[in-house]
Amino acid sequence: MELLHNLFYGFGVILDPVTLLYCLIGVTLGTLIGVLPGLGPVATISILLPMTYYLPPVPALIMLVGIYYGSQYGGSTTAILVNIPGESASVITCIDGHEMAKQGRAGAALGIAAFGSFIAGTFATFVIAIFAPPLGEFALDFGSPEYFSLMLLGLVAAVVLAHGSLIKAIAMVLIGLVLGIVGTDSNSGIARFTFGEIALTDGVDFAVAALGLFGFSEVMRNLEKSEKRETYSTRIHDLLPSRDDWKRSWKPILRGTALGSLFGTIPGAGATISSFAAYTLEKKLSHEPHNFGHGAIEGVAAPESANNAAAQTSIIPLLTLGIPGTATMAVMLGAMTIVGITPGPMVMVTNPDLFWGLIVSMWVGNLFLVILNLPLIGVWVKLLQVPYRLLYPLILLVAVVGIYSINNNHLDVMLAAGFGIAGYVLHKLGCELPPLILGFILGPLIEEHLRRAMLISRGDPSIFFTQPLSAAFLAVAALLILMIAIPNLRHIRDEAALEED
Amino acid sequence: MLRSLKHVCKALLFTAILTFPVSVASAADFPNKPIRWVLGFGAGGASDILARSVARGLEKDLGVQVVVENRPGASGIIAAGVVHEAPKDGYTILLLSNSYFNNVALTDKFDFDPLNFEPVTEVAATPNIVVVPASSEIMSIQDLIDAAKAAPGKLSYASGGVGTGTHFGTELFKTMTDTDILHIPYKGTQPALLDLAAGRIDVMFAGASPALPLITAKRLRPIAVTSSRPAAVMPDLPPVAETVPGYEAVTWYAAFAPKGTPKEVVDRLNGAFKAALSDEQVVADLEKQAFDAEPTTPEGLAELLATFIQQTKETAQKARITLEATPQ
Repeated sequence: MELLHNLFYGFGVILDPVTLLYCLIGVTLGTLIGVLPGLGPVATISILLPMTYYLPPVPALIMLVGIYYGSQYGGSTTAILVNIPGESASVITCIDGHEMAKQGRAGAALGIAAFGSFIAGTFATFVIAIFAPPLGEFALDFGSPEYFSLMLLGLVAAVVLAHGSLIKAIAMVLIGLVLGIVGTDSNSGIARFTFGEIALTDGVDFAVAALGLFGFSEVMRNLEKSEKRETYSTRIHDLLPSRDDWKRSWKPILRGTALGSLFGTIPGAGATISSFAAYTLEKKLSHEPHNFGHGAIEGVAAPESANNAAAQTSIIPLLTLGIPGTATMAVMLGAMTIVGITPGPMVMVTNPDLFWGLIVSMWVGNLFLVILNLPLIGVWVKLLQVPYRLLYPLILLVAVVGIYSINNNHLDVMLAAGFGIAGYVLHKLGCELPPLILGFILGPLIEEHLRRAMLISRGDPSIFFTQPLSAAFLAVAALLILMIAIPNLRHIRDEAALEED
Repeated sequence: MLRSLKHVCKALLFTAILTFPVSVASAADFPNKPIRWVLGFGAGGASDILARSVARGLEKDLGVQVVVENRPGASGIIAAGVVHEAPKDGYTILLLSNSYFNNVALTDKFDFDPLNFEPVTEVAATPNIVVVPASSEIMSIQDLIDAAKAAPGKLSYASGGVGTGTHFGTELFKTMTDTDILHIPYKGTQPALLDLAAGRIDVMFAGASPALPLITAKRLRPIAVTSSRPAAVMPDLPPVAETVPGYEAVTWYAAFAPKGTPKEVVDRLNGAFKAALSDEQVVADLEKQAFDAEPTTPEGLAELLATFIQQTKETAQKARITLEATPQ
């Protein structure tokens, strides 16, 4: 009952016309920067941060949060339409989303992404309202051993992601790990693989690698074909998901939402990893795993729901502990202190209007997003009919501006170009990029947490097995390895048997 | 000898005549166009908020726009490199923190002379707060020293990364108290505070601004401040120096201009900073982030730098910290 009372109180805050307007501005802006590759929520929120000096605190913060989850929404659009992740969390959406677009089903993919995100957003709102404090405690339970084991599990899962050669998938993960090593070693402060380039001492930015590997190489691949994109444009049938799509998607949406809500609360894990996890889970549970990578709608529904749920629940550590779990939330913390609010469990008591207003605004914002995005689907799909020779310079231009805006550094643009060429070559060699990207994200985290866990335990590796959460993750990872290995072993055995015959 | 001196004088006079009208022209009507303030920090953090508040104060005094430009990364080295190449006219200035000078003291990863700047003024300082988990039995600095002495190497402390102020501040404490506490580096203060709150780490000399929420939430217990006097942010907290005489380790920020910027321009900037840092609104904004405004003269900043780098080198030597790859 108290929850209802609180939610009504929150509605009272958000239904103020001015607040509502700022919420709308936030999600609209978020969608826009999500669609534009490279431009991320961190940069946008930072740029708008000075505005909080002039605005009343609650609408200002509602707008800033709106930008964040709005951008997760928009990111899928670029991924589906042009195979470029507009947002880091949409890397995984490219795989099946763009395949669907090629089959003329861009509308269905965009629709299921929008509805999935809305369902996830609604669910996550309630998760925050009801479970924020215990989930905050959950974040505290995550020490280095737990992170290490979880990330290791993720890495094993990355191999499952691949639908082609197992050896190539493992090779891609390893290349990703090596790329992730570039930068300053956090235990000694020594620069690794920077070739004396100061700009590389903080490592390669994720957006630079992702835009280069996916975006630039996609443009190159398209330029190979001489203006033959009828495949997209002529056969666009349904603009909305069909009944069958829904039948296949509703479970993945729910599972993705649950996974995303949980992952979002773990500081540093966030939306990107939850989308990878949701995709892997669906592929494993599916009766037709071979469809994944060839336009399976589940492969869009699950990760899109997961990343949107995670984007929202990532505010939990900030609200309950005062610790920002992601870069975006760190900027939010800055915004809160500017307006004189100390984030943490006291916010609920000292600023209930902010706390409940923020939570309810997330739901209202998600509603805005669906209303905003559904009519846009038609527009987006039309965009695919623009001749590619006109479209690609625009894509490249926006991507380059986006990449430059991350650190205001031209080296990033050059790096992205290099990644583009590498991505093109790898594609020609039949290697898949998602395992590489996952290795790149997880590698530095695995190393950091492995070394820290060993430091804390004074060199005793049993710490990974004695912590229950950590041991559980390791057990699942071992199980996954068995699941991959047994069919392969059987395959080898069958071949051997054949030869004997 | 005398002849050559005469030559030198002539040459000097000649260059002075040549450059004089130029510098006067640029100095007299300085500033007449927007000023670009390059920061070595990403947008949105406490350091960024500091600069943006001060920039608004500067705009009031200088009457021109002050554009804040974020060039994050490598402890400010990237930002410093940008300003190092900028015209020496005062229209490009720089903000650095002590982390940059830790690197100056300990590495040669610079491809320019890292001290080749005109000091303008110190801008602000913020104390670190010595925090322990709320469940810890350590109540004071004396308790911390006793616990560390009772079991050398058994206690652990967190830092926001090798070479940061949270690392050096604790190493200075260790050398001054002759204790052995294990260093666990993190990537930034926030994840370190989380592990501290969960009780996986014993102590941290953490920045005041990020530590405050957890202190308010009673997850962490503050036991001392690292400034030499009690700090405005928590006036009841004793300084570490009460137990360890002479100890001081704060995080500070200072503004610089490219080397060779005319003295008049540097002084004008210094004046503007002084005005901005006494502006009520700016001071209030700074207080929210636990910063104290600390304007100095350009000479004062130069002195501060010399002392700081000397002290950093000594601490690093005693604690055997290096940021360079050394053959094992």
